[in-house]
Amino acid sequence: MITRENYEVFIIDYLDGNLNPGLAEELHRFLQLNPDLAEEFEGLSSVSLTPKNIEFEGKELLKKKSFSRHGIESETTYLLIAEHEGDISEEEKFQLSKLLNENPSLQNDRIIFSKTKLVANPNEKFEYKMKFKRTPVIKLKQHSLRFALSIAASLLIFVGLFALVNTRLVTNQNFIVQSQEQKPQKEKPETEHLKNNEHQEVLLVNQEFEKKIAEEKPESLHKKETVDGGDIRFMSTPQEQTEAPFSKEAVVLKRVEPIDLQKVTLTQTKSTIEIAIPRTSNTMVHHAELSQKAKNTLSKGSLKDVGLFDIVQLGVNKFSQATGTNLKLEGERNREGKLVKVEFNSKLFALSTPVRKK
Amino acid sequence: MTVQEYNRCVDDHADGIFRFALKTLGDRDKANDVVQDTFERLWVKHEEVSYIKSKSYLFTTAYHASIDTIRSDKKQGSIEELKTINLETNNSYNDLQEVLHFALKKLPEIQRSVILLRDYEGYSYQEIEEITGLNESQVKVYIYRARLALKEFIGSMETII
Repeated sequence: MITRENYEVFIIDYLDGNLNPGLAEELHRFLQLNPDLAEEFEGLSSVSLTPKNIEFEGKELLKKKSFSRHGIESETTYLLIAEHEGDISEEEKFQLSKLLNENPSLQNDRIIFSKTKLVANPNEKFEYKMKFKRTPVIKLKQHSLRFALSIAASLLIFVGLFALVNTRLVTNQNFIVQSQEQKPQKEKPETEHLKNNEHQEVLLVNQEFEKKIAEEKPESLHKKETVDGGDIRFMSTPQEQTEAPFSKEAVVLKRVEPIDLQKVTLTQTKSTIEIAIPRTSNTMVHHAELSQKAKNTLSKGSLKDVGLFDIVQLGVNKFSQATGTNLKLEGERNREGKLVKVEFNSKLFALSTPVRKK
Repeated sequence: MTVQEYNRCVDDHADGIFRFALKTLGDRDKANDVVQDTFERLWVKHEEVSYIKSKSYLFTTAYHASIDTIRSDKKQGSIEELKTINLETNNSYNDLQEVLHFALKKLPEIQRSVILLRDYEGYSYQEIEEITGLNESQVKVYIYRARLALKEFIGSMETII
């Protein structure tokens, strides 16, 4: 039923031609009964909008081209790139060969595409690789660590003891030489002239050396001169010791002085023999392998004063010398001479620890 | 990955990562930083990353580090861009690869990265997808467009040379 509340819907449908004839009759009757609304209806029928002929200019830009694949809008170009990339199907291959046959100038494009592959320069290398490499960390259990340290310490003690005993044997030979020379002096003071004769003989020998060297190769004197604290050193290789103990190349001589045979000491290493003749009354023994402690102890002829630390220290020094590594074990002692601190230095690590008092 | 495997990664891939970063960024110092950053990250994750996946991990990290560097440079206003423009007219080229590498600098950064991964390292589209986080279609679009740009550049240069 059409009322004053819903009449607008019926009027619009009537204007659009969507109202059925029965309802249209009912609408006419309703408008006759309501003349004010009939007046409104008459005005409405004359209002209509006619569209102007306006065209959108960018239509062509919105249109899609007939071919577009992977952002390439030319089928030929796409096929050429696909061929270069190895991304071409059998069907596309056939299509491409057909296009190439039809248009031989495409071969040029094909060649250019084949040249677009970038090649890395193998000489362009990263310089700091070593900086990024890592060193593996070995995780040791406590008992394994203790075991490894025990072995290392035992080895060092063994090396130290070996070095000590070896040095002791060499130095004992020196004592034998010295004591043999001293004995006749005590028992037979009259042999003084003999000693002087020996003295003279040594002088003569030295003078002969000097002459020979001066005659044969004077410049070698200057070059070979390696004098330690005024001592005269005669050096020879093991071969030379047997064949020619004082060959001209091996002799290093600075000056000749009267020699006191009581003060002459002989030391022997693996490769050299050294004769040390002091100018002062103190006998000096040149031997790089002797630690000061060992020397003092050996001069007393006893091993009592050599502690475990000294043996280990000697072992570390010997090991360092043998392997060419820079290892250093040092101890700090108090006034009483007791060890209070131990320091160890190496390339990899260093440690310093106080010695526990029992 | 063990420490030995990590060290092998340094030997095997540091040069490749460096070249990739150098060509993407066009700056040796920045490329060094990218390599350093990349290997630092690998070391942090070395227990989680397997040796087999290490190359992919390294290039993924290097790619993102390079893109971050480029974006950061763009924000700061890159002086290098001006230098490139000035050099353009003075450059003379001895061989095709030189021309190509010059043209490479002119490509948009993502195109540059994907074409480098494709040509330098020989990665497949799928691998590039994994490294860059792009989908296959995007990867192909970038590579095809880059290839076309390079072709047009050397096509025009060939007539000059």
